[in-house]
Amino acid sequence: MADVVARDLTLSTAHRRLTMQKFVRRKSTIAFFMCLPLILVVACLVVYPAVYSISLAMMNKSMQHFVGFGNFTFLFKRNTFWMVVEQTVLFAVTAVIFKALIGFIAAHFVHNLPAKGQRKWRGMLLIPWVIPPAMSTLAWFWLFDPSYSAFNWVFAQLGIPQVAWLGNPYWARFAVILVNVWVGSPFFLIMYLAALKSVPEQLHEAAMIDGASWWQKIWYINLPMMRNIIQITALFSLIVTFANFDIVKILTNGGPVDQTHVFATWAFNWAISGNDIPLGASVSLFMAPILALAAVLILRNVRQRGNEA
Amino acid sequence: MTTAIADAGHTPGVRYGSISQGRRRTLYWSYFFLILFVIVFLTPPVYMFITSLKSSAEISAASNPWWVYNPTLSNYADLLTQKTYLIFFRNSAVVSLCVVTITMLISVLAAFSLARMKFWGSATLATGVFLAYLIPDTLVFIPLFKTFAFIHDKTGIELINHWWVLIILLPTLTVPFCTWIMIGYFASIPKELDEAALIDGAGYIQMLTRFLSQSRCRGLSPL
Repeated sequence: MADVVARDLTLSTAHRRLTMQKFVRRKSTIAFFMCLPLILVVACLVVYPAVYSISLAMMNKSMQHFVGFGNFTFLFKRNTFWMVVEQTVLFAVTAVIFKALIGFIAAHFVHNLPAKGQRKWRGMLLIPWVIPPAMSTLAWFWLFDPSYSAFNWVFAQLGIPQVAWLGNPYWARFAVILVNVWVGSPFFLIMYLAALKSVPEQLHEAAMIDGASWWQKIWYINLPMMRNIIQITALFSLIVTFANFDIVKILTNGGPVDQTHVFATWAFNWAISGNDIPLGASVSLFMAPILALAAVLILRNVRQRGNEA
Repeated sequence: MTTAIADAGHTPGVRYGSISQGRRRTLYWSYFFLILFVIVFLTPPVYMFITSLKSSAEISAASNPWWVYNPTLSNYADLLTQKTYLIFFRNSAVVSLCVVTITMLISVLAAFSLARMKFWGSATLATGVFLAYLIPDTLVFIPLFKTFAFIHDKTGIELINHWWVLIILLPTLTVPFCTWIMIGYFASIPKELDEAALIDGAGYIQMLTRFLSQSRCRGLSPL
């Protein structure tokens, strides 16, 4: 009796090992096939163009022969290029800082409300983010429009001198950043609101009993607790803002004497309007270093968080 | 409530209940500033709506741009009777439907296998998807433009300036993003669930459909 049971047991373990092996093999193949469409899409539509743009950037204008770094040295000698670099950095950094600030402040105000009313306010505040940016930029364009400008009308009523919103280089830069902040800050709001909700209420209660002011509560409780989310959101948004295209294209199209061009619009101007594809590709490649830096930072951050959890 | 009662019972001058008072004050300030924020956030869409109700004569008149004196729906009527607008509308609808379907198919399958079925290189692939999401579309469009021109030269298929090309192109933006989101979503479903499903003899595909039917609303709504 006993040895029959034992034999049965060994049989069943051997059997199980066999099926397990088969099973693992089957599982990985299934998984691979499930990933295949993704791999194809990413390879064809993201990786291939990205690599191709590097090779394109090293051709001459008619794309007949290889010129090495000729396009880059050509760019370095142009003043407009440095202006674009300056404008892109200014645009991205200022816009992200203001988006983060506004999102942070608004998230605190929404968080202060009683839980019942929050939904309504959150919905209203999210509107700029859900409208397609091309459309809302058009609305801003009309608001800024020189002849029927709604803003200038208000200014005229108040007796403030008129402003050429999109004609003056400085105001045009301001306008582009303003629209970007308007579109982007709801995203920060929603992220920061989620982060605020995860801050334990007990900490605030303890701080209140200890007589902490609202500023101390934000500085010593909320900020440290939200640090991760703040970093990741800011890095993400930096990438997106850096590569922004539609807002600048619609609002100013590079604006008065190329003053508001960012990398993407300038690259578009060269490559598609100006018919010099290699030059455009090399312009757009300048987005890569900052992206790589941000990607490394984000990945490190995500991994750290994974280790803590 | 309780603090009010406590206040009533004590001598004036001692500040009881300052916490609740402070809370009420922050609440009022919050409402005040939130109203400001909402006004700023809603100005362009509201302005757009107001302008859409105006006739073109009223737009060019030097009157108050923030108010409609003679609201008219003729602009909307014009649009809806115009043939081109309806075509544009159909194009948008078709493109978005197709893109959503394609994206969903690809990203749900891939995210499920990446999050749940560990295989050789799955972690690398997940990181790769994330990196692909970070590559901006503005970097990619010039080479794609060139590639399409090349395809046109070789095979005679015209890809530029056709609305349906968007169906091929837009997954570039949506697929990595959705996959990334869905990986997080599948990772949040407890692992014991699929072990139980395996023991009960469910296949992977069956498991996936069950997961989706159970709680799809939460994970899929962002799409």
